[in-house]
Parts: sequence; structure tokens; C-alpha cells
Amino acid sequence: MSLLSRLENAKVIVSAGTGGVGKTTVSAALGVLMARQGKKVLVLTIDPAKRLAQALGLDGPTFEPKQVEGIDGAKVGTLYASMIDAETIFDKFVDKFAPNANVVNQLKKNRLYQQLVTALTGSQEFTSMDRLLTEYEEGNYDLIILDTPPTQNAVDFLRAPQRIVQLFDERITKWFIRGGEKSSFISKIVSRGTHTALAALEKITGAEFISELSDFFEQMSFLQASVKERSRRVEGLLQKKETLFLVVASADQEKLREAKRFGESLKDYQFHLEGMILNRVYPEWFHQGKEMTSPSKFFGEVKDFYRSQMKAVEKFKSENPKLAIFSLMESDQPMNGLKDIVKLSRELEEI
Amino acid sequence: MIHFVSGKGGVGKSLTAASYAHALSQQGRKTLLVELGGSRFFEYIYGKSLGFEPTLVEQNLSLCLWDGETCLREYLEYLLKFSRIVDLFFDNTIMQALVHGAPGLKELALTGKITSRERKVGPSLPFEELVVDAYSTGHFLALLSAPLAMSKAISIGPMGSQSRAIHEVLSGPLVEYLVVVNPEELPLTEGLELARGIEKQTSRKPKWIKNRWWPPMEESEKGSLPQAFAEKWQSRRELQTQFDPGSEYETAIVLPQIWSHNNKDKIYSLASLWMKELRE
Repeated sequence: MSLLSRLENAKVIVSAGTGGVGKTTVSAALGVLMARQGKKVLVLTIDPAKRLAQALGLDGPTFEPKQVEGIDGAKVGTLYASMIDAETIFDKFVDKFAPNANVVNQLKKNRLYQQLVTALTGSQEFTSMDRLLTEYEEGNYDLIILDTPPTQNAVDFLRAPQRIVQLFDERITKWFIRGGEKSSFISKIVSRGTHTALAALEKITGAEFISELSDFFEQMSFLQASVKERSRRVEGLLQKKETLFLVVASADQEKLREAKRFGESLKDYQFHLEGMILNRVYPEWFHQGKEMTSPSKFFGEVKDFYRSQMKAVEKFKSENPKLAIFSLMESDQPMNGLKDIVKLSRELEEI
Repeated sequence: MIHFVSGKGGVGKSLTAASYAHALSQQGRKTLLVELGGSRFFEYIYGKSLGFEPTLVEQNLSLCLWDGETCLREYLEYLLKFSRIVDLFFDNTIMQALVHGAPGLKELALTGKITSRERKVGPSLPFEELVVDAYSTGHFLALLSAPLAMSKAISIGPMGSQSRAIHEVLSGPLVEYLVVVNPEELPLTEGLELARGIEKQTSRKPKWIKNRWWPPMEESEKGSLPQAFAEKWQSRRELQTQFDPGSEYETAIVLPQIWSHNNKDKIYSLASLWMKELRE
């Protein structure tokens, strides 16, 4: 079954994988491919490389979806691309879901928030998913492709909503509020233990840290209900039949193993893995036929390398017959504009 | 010394870091190769299960896997002495959420562990060289910036002074930053951004590891090559020589592309080149 026919009925495609495998380029090319099937497609990406952003017309200051010009095909649809703003990502989330302006102001005044919130665990992943949900629910597109933020470990992406929900847990806030505890027996026991821990934490971090941290969690707790609700809906969307996951990986042995493991963990979340795309398996010049012999020692080494890489991929395929695995070539030229994305989309059409 | 190895995803950070660690250990330095976060790259390569505590894989060379949570736990145990209180922190869901949720805490614990020997804080770390296979660009800069950011947010108390001390080590002469680049446009551009980011955060000048560099093309080879391959070779060579923004920073080493699928072989080949470089 071809990649195209596998993706035909998708409403959402999530392209996942570790950094440095060309995931964003592949996502953009999938967008072009599906637009050329007559669909109205949106590609959501976070922090693309400059060249790629330019190719998609995203080098301006806006984060609104923009139509990508210059795509033709038999049944021309439209392609939109949009960037998820990694810098102010959490600020925007707070603005959107805080119950009132006062909460927003209080939180943004907190020094821990000011200094460190851009690095907040899971915030990029969560806000990407939230953006996906917003676009999906507004229903302006036939298909949305989410290029996931690069993570050290692909599974981190899946854990992100859970982590962020934990962060807004009201129990943390309660934990920090000293004095005036409710008088039930259980809460007394909990607070005696937690008081000991809190005192210890204060001893090693200092009163100023504890007070800032406690304010931070208190302000965050105002966002709790909406965060829980959003995560629940994101999870629901990701579990839908029309939401397909693609893992993008390179052909390196360790990367293949990691990609396979990621595919397996998708099942634990009840997400649908539609296939694995192996990027840069063989170079473009590899199949150019007659000129393939040369006395150059270096060329010989390179050729042998790709030959055995292709063999290793074939072996991986035969060992994993249930996985739909697609191999892509490595372009001879660096990515230099929309025409290269279109070229890659033609390749995706063939596999 | 502490050696951080970073770069764009996919440039060969882990193999480069490992080969550097091998070379240092072969010079008789007691070396620890640290893998950060949840990646388990080296477990496959060395066929050993790795954990927080160093595992000896070769003479003078140990490997370990550090994450923020475990570092924080170890630090608390060291300071509090009573593991019952430490258990209280970690064995309940509230503290789990706190550890994951409090901004900067995990990053601070991790940088704290990495710099613990220089600061003489925490359990002893009996190694002379620490090679850290660090995160790629964005995550690495976030990790580096956490101690300074924390010390700006919290100026008084132990948290403030620890954060300042960590930042001082990270911006001092006992740390070396190595940025891995390949002769391709995106890794070069991102590598340069990363190098400048490191300098901004720490005032230290990082060094390049020029990885997967291709050799010059001989005149005699030129005519016999498939045209597309010759063009590709040419363009990589051009990028290699054009990488002049690189002159802002020194080059630690130039490593060729090793055309092998065996990652362990690759580590050994690259390590021998490091050895040569270190001797000079």
C-alpha cells in the first residue's frame, strides 16, 4: 500500500521523531503532496531552519497561517503553513486561558516565571498540541500536519501533556500554603509530613525561593481547569481514527532501533502509527546508472557505504513485516526553496 | 576539565563525544562520558546497561546516564543525610509534580551535578575529565542559561549562591565547549548560532569540531566520477572552505566522515585522530 493511499482519509498527521533527520522538510513535503490531491492543508511547525521558513513564506514576523504560493498539480488544493512561536509560547497560553487579567499580571510578575518559563518542561510540546486542537476545532482545513518539536527522546513528546497537567496540580499549591489547613485527620497527617519536607526544602534553597515558588504555583493553579480540559481534548483528538502518526528517522542502526521503540510506545497511548519514513537512505546519484564506476577510492567507499545501508534497511523491513516502512533518497543539492520541497513531495507520491 | 559537546541534531554529537572520551582515557586520564536525558544511544553501542552511577567500560573510561530528577535526589540526600525526608520528596505524586514543574529546578540539578567536583559540593566524583554528550542547540542553551537565570530570580539564600557558583564554573576556565558541525548549510548556520549563544551565556569561546569533512578531490579523479557525485563533493568542499564565520572561533579538530555502519568502529577510528591531535 502506497504512502499516499495510507494518508488519504487523514484529518491530522503528526510527524514525530528525534532532531536532525529532516522531519520539518518531510512534513512540508507531505503538505505539498496532500495539497496537490485537492485538499486544503495546514502545516504547523515549530522553529524551522531559516531556509525552510523562507521557502514556506514564513520568514515574516507573523504566526498566522499563510498560504504557500507556487504549488501546482492536477487537482490543485491549497497549502497553508504556520509557525508556532517558541519564544513566547507559554505567555500566549497564559493570556488565552487565564480567568482574568489579574492572574496574568500576577504570574508574569513572578521572578521564577520571568526568568525560567521558556524552559518549562513540556511547554513547547503542550502548546504545539494545543495549537493543533484549536486549528482542528475551528475546522478551516481538510488536513492539518503537525511537525512536532525536536525532543531528545521521541517519547518525551507523548509525555508532555501529562507533565504539564501535573504542573497545574492544585495539590502542589495546597502543599505550599502554610497555616489555615483544613482540619480533617488525613490532611493533618499529610501536612505534618509535608511540613518536614518543606522545612528541609527551605533549608537547602532559602526562604526567598520557597516564597517565589509558592506564588508561582498559586498563580498557575488558576489555569488548572482549562489546562486539564485542553489536555483531555488533545488526547481525544490524537486517538481519533483520522489522526495518523508518522515516525521520521534516519537509517542509522541506533536511530532505527529508537524509532521502532517510539512506534511501540505510541500503542500504549492508543495512537495510530501509520508508518515509518526513513530519510536519506540512499543518495540521489545512486541510481543514475551507467556512470557508476570510477577508480576513485573515495567514491568506492561512499558507494559501498550506501549499498550496505540499503541492505540494512531491507533487513530491518523484513524483521518488522507489520510496519509500513518507506525509504527516501538524500537529495544531491541542499534544500534551497519551495521547488526542493515540491521535488521531495513527488518522491513521497511514488513510495 | 569539563567538556560539553553540542550541535544541531544529527551531526554526530554522541559519536564525537565518545571518541574524545576514548582518546582522553587512552592518554591515561580518568574519564567519565556522560549521556544526558533519556537517550540510550551508548547502551546499544557498548551492549551494557547504563545508569546514574558510572560503569567502567574500558581502562580509565566510565559511562553514565544523568537526568535532572536523579541528580536532584542525590543532591538532597547529600544535604539532608536522612533518606526518609528525601523519600518524602520523591515518593509522592505532589513532589514528583514539583520536581518536574518548578521552572529551572531540573536544569539546575543537572548543571549542579556536572560542576560538583569543581565546586567541591556533593558526593565525590573520582574523574579527571568529564565529557558531556549534551543536548542539541535549543535545549542545551536552555540548560546553560538556567543557573544564571535562577540567580537573577533568587538572589538571597542557598539557592541564589549555589546558582551563582554553578554559573561561575560554567563560565570559567575549567570548562570547554565544543560545537559539532558538518559541511552542510543547516548544521553550519545552526552551529554558528549555538556558538554565539554559548559565548553570550558564558563569555567562553567555544571551539569547532568539524565533523564529516570530505577530503580534497584529486585532478585525476575528477573526470571519472559520476557527475552528480562530483557536484556534491565540490559543494561540500566549498562549504568547508567557506566556513569562515568559523574563524570567530578556533577549531579543536577536523574529523573525516567515516564510511562505516559500525558505530563502535567509528568511535575507535575517530579516537585515534583525537589522540594525534592531543599529542600535538
